Amino acid sequence: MSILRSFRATDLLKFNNINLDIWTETYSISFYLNYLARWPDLCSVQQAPNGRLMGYVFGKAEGHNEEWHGHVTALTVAPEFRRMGLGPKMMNLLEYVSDEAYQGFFVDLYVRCNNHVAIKMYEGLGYSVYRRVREYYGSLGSGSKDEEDAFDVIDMRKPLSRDPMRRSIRANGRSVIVSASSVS
Amino acid sequence: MSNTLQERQVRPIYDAIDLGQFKSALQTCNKILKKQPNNELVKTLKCLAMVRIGKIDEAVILSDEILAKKPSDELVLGAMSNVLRFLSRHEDMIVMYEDAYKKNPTNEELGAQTFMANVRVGNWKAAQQVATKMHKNSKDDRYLYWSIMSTVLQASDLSTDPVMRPILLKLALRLIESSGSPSIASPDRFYLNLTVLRDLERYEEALNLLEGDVGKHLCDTSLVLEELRHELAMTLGKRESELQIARTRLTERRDRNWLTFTSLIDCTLADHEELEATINETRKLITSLAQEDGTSDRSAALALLELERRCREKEPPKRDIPFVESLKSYFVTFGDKPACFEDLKPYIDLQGEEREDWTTFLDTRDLSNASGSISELVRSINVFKLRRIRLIEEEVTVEKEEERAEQYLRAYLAALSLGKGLPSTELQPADDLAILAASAYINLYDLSKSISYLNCATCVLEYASQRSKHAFQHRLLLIRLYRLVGAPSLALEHYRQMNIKQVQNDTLAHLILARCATFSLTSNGDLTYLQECLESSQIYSSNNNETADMVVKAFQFEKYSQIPEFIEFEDRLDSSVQRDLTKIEHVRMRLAHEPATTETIDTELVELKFLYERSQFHHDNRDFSVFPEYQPLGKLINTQTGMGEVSPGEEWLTMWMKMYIICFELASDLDPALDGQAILGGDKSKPLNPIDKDRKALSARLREISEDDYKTLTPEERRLHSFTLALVSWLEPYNTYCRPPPQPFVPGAIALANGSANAAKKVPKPAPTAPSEPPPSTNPPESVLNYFDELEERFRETAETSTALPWEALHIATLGQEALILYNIVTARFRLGGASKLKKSDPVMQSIKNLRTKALVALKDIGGILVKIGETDATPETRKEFVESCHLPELCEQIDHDFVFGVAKKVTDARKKVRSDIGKGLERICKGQGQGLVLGAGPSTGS
Repeated sequence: MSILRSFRATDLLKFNNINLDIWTETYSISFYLNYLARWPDLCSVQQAPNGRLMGYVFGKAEGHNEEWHGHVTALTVAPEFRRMGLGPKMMNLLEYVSDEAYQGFFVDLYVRCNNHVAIKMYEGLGYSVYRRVREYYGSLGSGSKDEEDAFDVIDMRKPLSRDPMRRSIRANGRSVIVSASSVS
Repeated sequence: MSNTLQERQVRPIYDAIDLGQFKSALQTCNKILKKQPNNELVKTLKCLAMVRIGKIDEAVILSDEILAKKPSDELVLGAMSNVLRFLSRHEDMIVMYEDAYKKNPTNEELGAQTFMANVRVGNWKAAQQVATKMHKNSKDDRYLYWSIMSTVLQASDLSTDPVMRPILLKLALRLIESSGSPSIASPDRFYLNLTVLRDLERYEEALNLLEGDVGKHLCDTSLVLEELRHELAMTLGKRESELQIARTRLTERRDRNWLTFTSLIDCTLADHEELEATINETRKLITSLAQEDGTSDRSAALALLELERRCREKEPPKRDIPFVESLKSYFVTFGDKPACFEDLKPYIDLQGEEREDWTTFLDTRDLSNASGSISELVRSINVFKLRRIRLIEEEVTVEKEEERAEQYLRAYLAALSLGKGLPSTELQPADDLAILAASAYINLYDLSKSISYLNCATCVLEYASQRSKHAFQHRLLLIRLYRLVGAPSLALEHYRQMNIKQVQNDTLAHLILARCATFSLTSNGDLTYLQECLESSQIYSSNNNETADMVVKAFQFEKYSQIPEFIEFEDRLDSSVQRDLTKIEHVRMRLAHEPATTETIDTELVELKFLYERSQFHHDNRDFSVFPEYQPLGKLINTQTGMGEVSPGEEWLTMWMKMYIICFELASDLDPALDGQAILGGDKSKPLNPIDKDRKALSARLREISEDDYKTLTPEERRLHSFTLALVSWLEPYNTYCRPPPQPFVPGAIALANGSANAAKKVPKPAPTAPSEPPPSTNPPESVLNYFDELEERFRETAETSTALPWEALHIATLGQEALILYNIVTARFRLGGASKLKKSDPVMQSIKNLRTKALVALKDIGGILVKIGETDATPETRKEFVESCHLPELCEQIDHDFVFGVAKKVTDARKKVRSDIGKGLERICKGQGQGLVLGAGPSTGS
């Protein structure tokens, strides 16, 4: 039960209950407004009837030719509103707009390797691992498996209607490892 | 010079600037300029480098020189725009680009830059003219839409005469209709078209556009358009069709957006003939949706409650509609979701039998298995919360609250086992139980005024914070509690742990900066809070730069729907209450650090006047909704844990601004008729007070006290306020007699920072000359005469009272210190050698001197007492006292004696530090000020 609406600039003044959570980063004003100035239809927010913000998504459209796709930059839900299907709803909308309005081939997103809850959710929504990006969040040098998981991300993709042959994904994505410099 | 040669020459300078090596860039520039003194580009880059290393004065001179030559080279213009943006000289930037564009009217890039320069400062009229010209030259529709958007923005600008608004909107509409391609080609042009029609109240036309095939498709992928469509349809009273749309969306498309449900309910309940039948039909529909969705989606089940609530608003509840049964069934289905509490909160304001029924239902839930599974745990947390917030007065006795605190705490500790295996980054499922226990302890303090309860709350939260390292709500409460118990350094520690940054500085800095002068140690050379103020204020300059850039970007990408939103956001930060609250705390603390020089006072006076004039457009963005509020009816944890009954807000701010302006005016030689706007807002295009033309003179407004404003001060702040006011009115006649002719304001760094290089040109008119005879001597008013003695008395009393919270004594001490500082400022003219036209033997001069002696004696005493209390603060006895007052170890094994002792040590150590440092600071201030160190030459360096 929530209001799904487009993200407004003034929501930045009300998103503390979401952003004070450890998994959610707070960026500069221009970060958010840049998204809104370019892809406002890929940025939405879920709001409780009492006005409290519950979660939001920021996305963009990018890439060339058959790599043209929707990208999920940030998806987050406040702790008290988790496990209620808000994430999937915002993802649905983003996928729909990426498909209908932008005619992208697929939607993709990066998620930290140690964020197992999120990975499971994306898998449930039809996303699969396309590749693993090493040291996307910096590095502490050679570390244990857990440390690597904290700095590496996996790139997950889901094909849209423009890719009926599902060419934008692959089966062995987990074993494809690329460096951070090759993707950003 | 050939382009390649030029490029080879300037490349290293650009590189150095990009890398932040401004000194090296400057050197390279100087080297080249020796040989080619007229190289405009190098000169401009030099200017840019100077700006970046802080050589502002030289940069201003050089930039004027460059501007005078009316540059038109694009590289020079680009670098210059950076310089001007850094110096906030937006008006000069407009002129620069305008001139360049005039020379090259076919250069679209220059046109666009001129347009954007105007956009940056909100010069909508000029922007519209530039865009129109560009459109004429290039026939590109994009520029036509720029001019349309600018016209719409001009129509909604506060400074635009209301009569002009419809005229401008009609002009915008005509321009849209004149466009070669229909607006529907792009969602944002389309949106603009629709909003213009809406604002002109031509709803029917707007809706027709939306209901075409393309319009329908656009609504499908744009939430903004769909919202607008619904709004228009409702305004036109299209109840039937909207009802049908909502039904279809809910059934066929399985839409579960809450907005669709509210639309369904709105349309159902709108006045019409078959109300009863429609209600029944809607109820049937929602009920079947709820059954169909089961536990997979809560919206239909909640919509059922919403429908009944709205029906009840229309007429008294009917017995045959079992509202409480719906509540119960909602709880049974969704009680294991953490959000169940928030969901039901709006619906449980019940009376009489219904209340009893609901309460019994909650009270009879079986909570014995709360630590058995996460869903059982969440269910019991929901029961506790739902029950707690509806507790009425007779249910909230000390005894019953103690029982509850214990119940929550036991449940918390037992349920910790459920989160044992979680990684440290995860929140503990039991977290909220600790918050509930702490809430009960805080409420117990409120009921009994016994500080031991606050110690209990602190220990519970510290323990929970260790178990759940990233739970921010524990920290929020700890910050509040540590301030109350006089351990501000611990509050600051938790605040830092929350990693507040960027825009959160505006919404959350209140946690640590509200009344922070109470804890400030600037008198002792510790600049922590001053620094905190500066850092958290950076967001406002980021806003001025970044948001304006993004408005420009939204124009470039033609996202017209976003532009009004960005402008609103910019404005809300720009005129933020917190911004000025931080400023006033900064001024208060700064004066305790450095002796007030004439320059400081003049600069602060001018800025405060400017802020005061602007404050009528304030926006309060402070976020208090983050506090976990689970207190019984009529109580708020936010109020219970605040220092003072009311958090300092807009009203409080007004009181302080007025007080400081009045005091500074007495000490300053500036022309009092000069208002802040004339000086700082000198070259702003928009007038500050466009609406209210009949406002009273500033001096009269400053002396008005509104009851609402006054109520927000603490009793001690009220006393300081009456003291300064009485002091000023006593001294005013002598001041008028003594002060030299009014001086013009010479802007220093401050004026530059506010974008007014031209300010110096505005020289005020000389005021009437001072009277030639000294006014008859009068004695200082009683309230001034006795202020410091009474202050000392109050301080002693508060320091000794066991029910007074430790911050209160510090509050009295630091306000006393502030009174002395203000006293010194106000009387500086009379005390400092030769400055006064009054004879030394004049009774007024004597009174001034005597009063000061009195103040110094009282404050030295207070300082001494604080140091002494500080010494006895962190001793085994005080820790033992803390531990004994906290009965938690008797209740549970986990929060044991050692743990409580650890907290006790931290708290007492922190308290000792702040007490003795404030005490020492007071002594220092008394000593420093005692040597007449006021209005001296420069800032003190500390001892």
